[in-house]
Amino acid sequence: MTSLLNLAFKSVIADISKSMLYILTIGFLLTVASAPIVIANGYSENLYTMLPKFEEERFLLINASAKSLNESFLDYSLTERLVSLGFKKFFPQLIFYSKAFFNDKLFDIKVRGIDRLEEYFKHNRFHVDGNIPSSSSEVAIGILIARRFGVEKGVFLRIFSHDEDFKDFRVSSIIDCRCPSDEEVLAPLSTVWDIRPDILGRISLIEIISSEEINPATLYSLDVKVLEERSFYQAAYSLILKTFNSIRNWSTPIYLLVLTAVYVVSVRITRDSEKDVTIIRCIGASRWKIFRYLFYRCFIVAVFGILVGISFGVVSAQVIFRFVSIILSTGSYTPPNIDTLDLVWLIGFSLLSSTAGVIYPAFKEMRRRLSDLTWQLTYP
Amino acid sequence: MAAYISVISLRKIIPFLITFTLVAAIIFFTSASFNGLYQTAIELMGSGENVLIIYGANAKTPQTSVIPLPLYDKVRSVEGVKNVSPEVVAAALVGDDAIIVRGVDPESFQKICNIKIVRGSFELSNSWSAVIGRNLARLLKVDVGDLITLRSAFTYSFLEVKILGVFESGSSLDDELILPIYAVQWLRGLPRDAISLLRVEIDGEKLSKEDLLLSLRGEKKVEEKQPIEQPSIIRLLTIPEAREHVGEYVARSPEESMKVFLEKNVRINEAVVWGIVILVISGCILLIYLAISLVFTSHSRELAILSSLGASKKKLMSSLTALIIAFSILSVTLGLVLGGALSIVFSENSLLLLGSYTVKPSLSFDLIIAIAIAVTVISAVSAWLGLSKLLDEWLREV
Repeated sequence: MTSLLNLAFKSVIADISKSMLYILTIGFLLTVASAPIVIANGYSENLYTMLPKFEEERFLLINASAKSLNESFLDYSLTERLVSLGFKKFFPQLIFYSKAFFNDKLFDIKVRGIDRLEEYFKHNRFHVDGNIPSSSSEVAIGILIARRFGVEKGVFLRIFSHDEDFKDFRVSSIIDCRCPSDEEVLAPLSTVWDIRPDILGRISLIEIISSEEINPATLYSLDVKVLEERSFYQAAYSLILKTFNSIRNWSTPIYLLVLTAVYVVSVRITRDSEKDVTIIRCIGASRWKIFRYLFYRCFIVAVFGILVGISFGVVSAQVIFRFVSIILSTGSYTPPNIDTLDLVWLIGFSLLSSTAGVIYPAFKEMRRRLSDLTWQLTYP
Repeated sequence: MAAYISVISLRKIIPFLITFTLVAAIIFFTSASFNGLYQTAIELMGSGENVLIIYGANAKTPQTSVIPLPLYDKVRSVEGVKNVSPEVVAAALVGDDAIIVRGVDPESFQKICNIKIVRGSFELSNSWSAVIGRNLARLLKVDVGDLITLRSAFTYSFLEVKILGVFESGSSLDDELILPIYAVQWLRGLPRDAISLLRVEIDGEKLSKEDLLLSLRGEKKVEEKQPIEQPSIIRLLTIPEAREHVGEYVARSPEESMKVFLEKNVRINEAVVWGIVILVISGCILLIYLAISLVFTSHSRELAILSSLGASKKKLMSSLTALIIAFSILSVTLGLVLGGALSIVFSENSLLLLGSYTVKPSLSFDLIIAIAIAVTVISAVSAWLGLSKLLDEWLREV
């Protein structure tokens, strides 16, 4: 194997001008595929570092298999496990959709039952007009419900449970929070369990306010789905990633061109090697050896093409990136580079395309009869 | 000439045809995708004749702008303004996917935007009702009746909404989730008297963009209309003691508003897009040259015979170059079809995205003609050079 590889390598070196043409043919195509990926990597990396991360961390715990909050049910006893993990500030909540009746109008409402309602209002700095519901016959309503249906403090609102049963509640306060509670009916968790006895002892979610002393990672040990709140970083990361993944997706069909280029180059190499092949065959080499010799020769060119292409890609990306950074006056930045995964992807796909492109011409040449080869050599 | 052409074996020309088809396909796929990406960015705010977007002069984009809601009444009262749609734009997470949510007043919004309901209805009666664009519904795999939980990217608000309708607009709205205006104010963290932008439809004969801006600044007196009753959703948001907002606004066409941002802040314009296409074409030049020279080297014996029979170098070169051009046109046509189909498949399968927006490939006639000419010219030049070199080598050997 080594002697054939050596011979193939020497043949590549011997005709360096032609080899360079072949290497550059493959290389340029890979530059086209790799440079945009490297630039995209550079942009995304620099954008990620610019994204702000908020200090206070809040998490939502919902049922691991639930597709929506409406379907999410957790056992209230989960709160004890949170306490044992060291979490102090958390608000178990039960959310359900129902209907309300007021002033001859029946309308849809969203009811949210919250444990430690007063603390929740204070923590979220809700503007409360009236008294925070304290008894099991009182509720607070959001300002948009109040405005839309003319509900005022002190009036009674009829709230229906799931089985057409209903109960009248005194509206003790009107909430203005610039948040979804502006269009909700809010009550202590125990009051909501009174409306919905069928889900007594169950909650939809737990809102957790993390503190410095507690590692939020411990939440992931619970058998629940953990969702971050105010996840600007995650949202921006997702949008950036989707955009730059499109560049990766765009580059995929270019490997078809790489395959074609390797095929064309291999056909050219087998033609260039006709003299060598005839001589090797004349001195007794088997057809399999001929195949290996041609395969190695074409493959060496392809590998050099891959190396040159990726290197050109990285270098040109760095030049373009720096040039663009000067135009945009972006100040300090991390120069782009190819990440390991992209490198593996590029090399893997290129090698696969190269192997596929080399096999047929080498195989075709191997099958030619010695008489044909000698005839061709004598009368080109 | 027919004699020269008859020596060309069709079997030997197949690799050349495949190469050219692929080269044309990839070049067209690249230009359709990147032009589509640019066009998608330009059309993020929609389009339409006599439609203007009013947003804060200091904001980089209409989406990130914050303007006072009372401006809505001011604009509505100007004679020549046909419809006004107040809108709030925010980003939210559905699972791990970031999406764009747009808060609207359904009444005004439907008057300006061409929305076609595919399933369900365009009903936004409360904050847990939503309508979703066709592309986004496909991406999130949701349909009418499904519930999705939105987590705000800017505030601690999370909101569960029920999909009541799926719509199609033929614009970037197809990649968005539409909610009542106040629900998106919560997600964006805006007070009730603040919005992102106003989409205004004007009567071009009665009012110009400049006059509208001057009247908003109070620098020009324009005729005022009889007051029209506010839509119910806006009445909900009206604050009696609304703050007096002093701000500078700009009014631009939807496309212009995004074009200015792309050119000023991202420094991306059509030249950059064409730069990428030229990069791909340059990368393919050597392959085109090699593929053409392969056709000639595989016919070297036939060419030698023709030459021995008295065919001049010039005649051989012109005939075979013409033949290569003819074959190029054939394979370029095939390649354009393949490239176009490839870009549509990529777009339909959400493989080409700009943030959360599906990139619609740009398959314009101008683009097709430009690429066909470019590839054919390169092939003609390569054929001429390749043949010239081959014949010179052969003549030297003789």
